[in-house]
Amino acid sequence: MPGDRGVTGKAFAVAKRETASFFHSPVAWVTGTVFLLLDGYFFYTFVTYYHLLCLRTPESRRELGVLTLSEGVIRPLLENVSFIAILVIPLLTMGLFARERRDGLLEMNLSWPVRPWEIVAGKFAAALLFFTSLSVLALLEAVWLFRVADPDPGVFVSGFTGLFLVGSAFIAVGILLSSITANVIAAAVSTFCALLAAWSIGWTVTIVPVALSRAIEKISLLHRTHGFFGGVIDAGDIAFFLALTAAALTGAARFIASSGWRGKE
Amino acid sequence: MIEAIGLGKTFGRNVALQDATFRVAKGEVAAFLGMNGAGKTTTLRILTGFLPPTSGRARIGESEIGPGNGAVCGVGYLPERMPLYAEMRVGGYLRYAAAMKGLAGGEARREVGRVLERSGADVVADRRIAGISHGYRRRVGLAQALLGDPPVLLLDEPTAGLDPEQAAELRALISALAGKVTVLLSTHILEEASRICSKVIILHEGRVAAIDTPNRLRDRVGQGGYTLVAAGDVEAIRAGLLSLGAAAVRVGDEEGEGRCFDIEFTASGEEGPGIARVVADAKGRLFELKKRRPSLEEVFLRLTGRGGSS
Repeated sequence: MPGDRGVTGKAFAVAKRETASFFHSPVAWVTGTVFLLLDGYFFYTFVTYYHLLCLRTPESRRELGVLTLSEGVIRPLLENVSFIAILVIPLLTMGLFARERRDGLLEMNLSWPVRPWEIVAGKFAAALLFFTSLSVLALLEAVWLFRVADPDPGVFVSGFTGLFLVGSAFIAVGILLSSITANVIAAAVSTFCALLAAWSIGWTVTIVPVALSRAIEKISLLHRTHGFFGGVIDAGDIAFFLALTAAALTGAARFIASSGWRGKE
Repeated sequence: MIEAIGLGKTFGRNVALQDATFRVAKGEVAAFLGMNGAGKTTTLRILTGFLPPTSGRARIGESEIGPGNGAVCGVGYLPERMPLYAEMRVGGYLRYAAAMKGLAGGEARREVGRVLERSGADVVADRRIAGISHGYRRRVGLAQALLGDPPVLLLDEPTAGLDPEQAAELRALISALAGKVTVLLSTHILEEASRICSKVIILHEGRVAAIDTPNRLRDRVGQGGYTLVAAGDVEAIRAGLLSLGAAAVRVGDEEGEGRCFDIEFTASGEEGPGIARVVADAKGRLFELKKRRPSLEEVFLRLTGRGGSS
């Protein structure tokens, strides 16, 4: 294609523009603030709860299944941050394509010599950078634990890796659902519903037959994060999140490429 | 060069464009004329590669467009409703557009500077797009279309919403591009097409109704008439003009020493010398004789069956 400037040049330009757009968007600031406030609230709650547990006997804590700082604070904090991401990420991704489709910006972008996947990759990179920035800020408070206690750094690393992969998959699903509609609200609601369903299906494993529960554990985002948040980095879990991310982004690129078929004069 | 052969586009049951065949030569400035919904925007969107055609094919320079293939290169496109990122500054937006067109580094900076100056948007280069007027938004749109010096420009209603001065500037810019860039624009301002275009493509209800130069299109619908100012026996002049073959002669107000005659002819021809002879035969004095051609609006209405038979 003429006008090529390397494989990533145009994707980088899109990512740069979208990142700047996030920092100009009141939605992104409000979303980020709510994310950090909820995260702070959960961190305070877990630390306080763990502090109270520490006053009990080891036997009592064993009965509750909470023996270490990782089990009492880091793991539940990461699980809750992931759940907050289900609320927050649809608000970040809803406008990425839906707004462009609604305002005619997508048509303008596609009149330039650019491939749909370059646009998708750029937007994904920008949203992931924004989410990662929020996650780093959110987990700074967990770093405080290293000053006052002795948490397992391995759990911290695997947990952050898991959060990064979960965030990537959530953003990719958000981009996919934003790419198929021109309605920003529809994009946000459908992303929220899809992520909530993929997460909460894991809650049913204790009430369904064993064979079904095993199948659910394979596809449940909640169960796929257990290893990461417990300090175990499993290649199967990494492959699952990467495959989900790649499939959703490929789907989005396909939808963008076929936008014309849905175009209206 | 732009070439379309049997181009068609349907949206469900709605036929937006049907069997459109036309050609715009290299360096030519051509205009789509048509009512709202005639298929102008659809055709331009197909030519940008955004909408794949349902049938037929088109070629823009080296790029082939057909069902399943919409990769178009070397086209500058100005949509009717210019969508822009409101939060960006004009210069930043153009640098982004330059990057998307494959320009980088010093080349991109030079190009952005060139198109800002060319489009007249340089005075708002540092302002946010949200804060600039509609006229400047059009200029920014035109600037992005000119980025990279594309050999083909597709402009959808380029002067829509501009004040007369801005519209005149834009028309002058398009005229200046003639010979160097192939321009296909859509408009419903007929005199605009007549002023800056060497070819007019009339679209009506999704079909090409006529293609020709503005002058030939006027000739095609017949002679417009003459405006005569002469002194003498009014009735003798009128009778002479009718015997010359005029379809109608209207006698108007006095103009100086003479009187104004509005003469209509149905067939095309050179009746000027005959009219002068009629005045002389009536022992009158001829002050002014002006050939009046049908306006492009009349041509358009007749060719689309809205203004009576041709």
